[in-house]
Amino acid sequence: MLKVNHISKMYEDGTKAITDINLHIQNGDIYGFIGANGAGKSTTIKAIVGIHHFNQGEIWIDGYSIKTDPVNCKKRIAFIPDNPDLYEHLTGLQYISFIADIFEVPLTERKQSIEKYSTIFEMTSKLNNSIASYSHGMKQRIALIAALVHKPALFILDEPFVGLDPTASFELKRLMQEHAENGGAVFFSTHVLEVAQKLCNKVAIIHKGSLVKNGLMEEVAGSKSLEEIFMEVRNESKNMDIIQK
Amino acid sequence: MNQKIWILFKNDLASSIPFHQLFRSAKQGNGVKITFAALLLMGIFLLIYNTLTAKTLVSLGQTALIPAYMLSVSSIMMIFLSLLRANGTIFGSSDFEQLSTYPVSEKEIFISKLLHLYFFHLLVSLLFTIPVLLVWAPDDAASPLLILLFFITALIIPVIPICIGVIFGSLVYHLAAYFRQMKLIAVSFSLILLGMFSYFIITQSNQTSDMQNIGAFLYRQMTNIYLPSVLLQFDSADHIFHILAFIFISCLLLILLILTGSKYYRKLNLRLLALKSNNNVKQKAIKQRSIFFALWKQEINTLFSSYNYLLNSILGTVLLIFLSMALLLFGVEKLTALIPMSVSSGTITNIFPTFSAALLLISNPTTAALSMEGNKIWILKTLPIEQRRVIHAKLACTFSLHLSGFWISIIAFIIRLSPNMEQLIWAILIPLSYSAFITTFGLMLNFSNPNFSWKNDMYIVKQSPPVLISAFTGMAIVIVPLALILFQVLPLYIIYLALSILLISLAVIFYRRTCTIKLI
Repeated sequence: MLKVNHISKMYEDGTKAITDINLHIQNGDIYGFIGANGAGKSTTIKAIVGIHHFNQGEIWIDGYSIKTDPVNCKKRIAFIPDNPDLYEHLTGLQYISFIADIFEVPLTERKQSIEKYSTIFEMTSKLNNSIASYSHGMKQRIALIAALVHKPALFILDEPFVGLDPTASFELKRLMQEHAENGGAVFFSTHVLEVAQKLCNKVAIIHKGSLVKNGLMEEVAGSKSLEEIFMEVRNESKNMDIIQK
Repeated sequence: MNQKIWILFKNDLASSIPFHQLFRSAKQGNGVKITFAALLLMGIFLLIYNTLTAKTLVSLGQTALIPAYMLSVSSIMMIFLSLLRANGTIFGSSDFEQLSTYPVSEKEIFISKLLHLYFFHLLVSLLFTIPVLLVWAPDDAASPLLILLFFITALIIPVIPICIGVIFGSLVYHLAAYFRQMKLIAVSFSLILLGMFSYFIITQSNQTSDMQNIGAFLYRQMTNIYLPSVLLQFDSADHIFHILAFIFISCLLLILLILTGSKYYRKLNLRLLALKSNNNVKQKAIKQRSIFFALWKQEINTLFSSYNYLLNSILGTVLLIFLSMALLLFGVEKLTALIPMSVSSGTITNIFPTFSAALLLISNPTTAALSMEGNKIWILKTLPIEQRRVIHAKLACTFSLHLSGFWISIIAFIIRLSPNMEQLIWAILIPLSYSAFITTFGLMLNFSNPNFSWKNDMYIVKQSPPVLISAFTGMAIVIVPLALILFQVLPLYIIYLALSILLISLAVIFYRRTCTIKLI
């Protein structure tokens, strides 16, 4: 479904943002992406969905290259950013319809999807309200409904649980599981390690732009909690820094 | 000055013009450098023009009139600017909510916003006051006391235009806030206001016809247009009290504005904020639209969602529609009677294509169309569509705007000026060529130099590099052919034919170039 092959990105001033990232997400996977603030999670995700360019490597989505065939890649993705800045002058329904138009979702199909997901995320009565009047969580839900309306094969979510209330958060987790069970794939970044441990079958930990752990949850965490693993990675890095100094 | 006001002012200024980027590396600071270069160039032109005007007044023996003339002209210009700038800076500003959380009073915020307007207006007024100091001050008649008073007046001069702009701007928003389509109504009111003000200036400047005494003529013209000019007389020490009265009135107006405006600042902004979150939207049936239509509709929605963007984008088209309607209703003779020089109907027919094209050039939302995406650019970047489609939608938005004014102008042209076939062809071809040129040029500039990290769209819409470069280019491509036509350097058909071929060829080049600039 998604292959990230040795991608690296460097900023204009020469700073390395991410180095040699390798990921392989298969159908049925729920893949957690963990790292501290500024570790390179969002940069990697933005490179995958085609927001950022990258200097080296290649990204394949369902056999299509994001570099040479971005349109076919993006058709297969539902992307939710960490801070869903949406067109505030539109209503929720107008925004979802706009996305559905771009993805050329047939009318009956989109009506069903809008009804289904707005019920799940309790947005039915608010669909005709202006997005400007929405809270952060409501924007997140509208972004989710819009992303799901075209039935994507791959969900890519950047910090999806931030701002969601417990019900919406629960529904999202349920949807992610359902999607993976139905042969789709989910790749998401999070700081909520307990959720990642419960939800994911695979996990990758990124530290200072490089992957330090990557694989099946049992292989990465073993008998420990993901939190302990994450702290070990941090402490090892700190020790290395001290030694280098 | 209160420390808090100063901090708020500096922060506001840095948000609207990122001075700090001037000293950054080439790529990061390029946009700001271009903006500064363009503004500087514009300033130098105006400075030279005003110095030449002042010297002309000297040669006409009207040296004493120079300070009053320059201050009056700069005031009129500042009234226009403040009418366009007050809303968006003080009322309906995007930083209202953030500022409300700071431990500062509404009065302090309001004063800092006034300071922001004052800073820009002072820069404009300097372009008029520097020539006065260069030409009038060295003259024997200008005593040191008068020069000192002039200097003080020059610092005070932006106050009245700012007061007028803020009062009318708040009135516009206050009235528009009663309507559901608040932004559209506000823009319509602002355009009506600007139209009325322009009409007032044109009619008042034509009321004086005594050209024998140029001094008396200019004095009457000035005072007819801008009443406070009666107090701006620097010809002798006898008028010191007039000048002092002007300074006193300006200060009094400012104090009154601060006292009343700061009370009203929160109330009006809260009302505008409530309207922004308006939930009284009619439920519409879910429809399926083509990708092009969906993107085009989104562009139109963005255009109508911002007061500054809409006002700047439709000014030329509205002016074209208004003048075309006036031409249809009143005919050529009555309209040309408003111009202070005699123009034949033949000349009007000949310059009509360039004139209507010039008005279309003012309406060019493509220069800001990409930057207006702001932090929502992720949406476009992640949509599964070729970049070409986004480009088409953005171009189509501007073309739609141009066409709405264009067809009315053509009808008025046919009915009132009875053109022959050749003239009609030019009247159609020339505005369309200009439209194709400026939209593709504006979009190419914006794609080459996008800015998605703005806080207030005023910077993007009014003073970003694409907007300034496009405005300069627009002026140049109108002035050159117009001069060639009026001075009959070449036959009309050669000028128009060459122009349309050139502009359409350039439009094709710009379009192709834009398609190659990767958004990512």
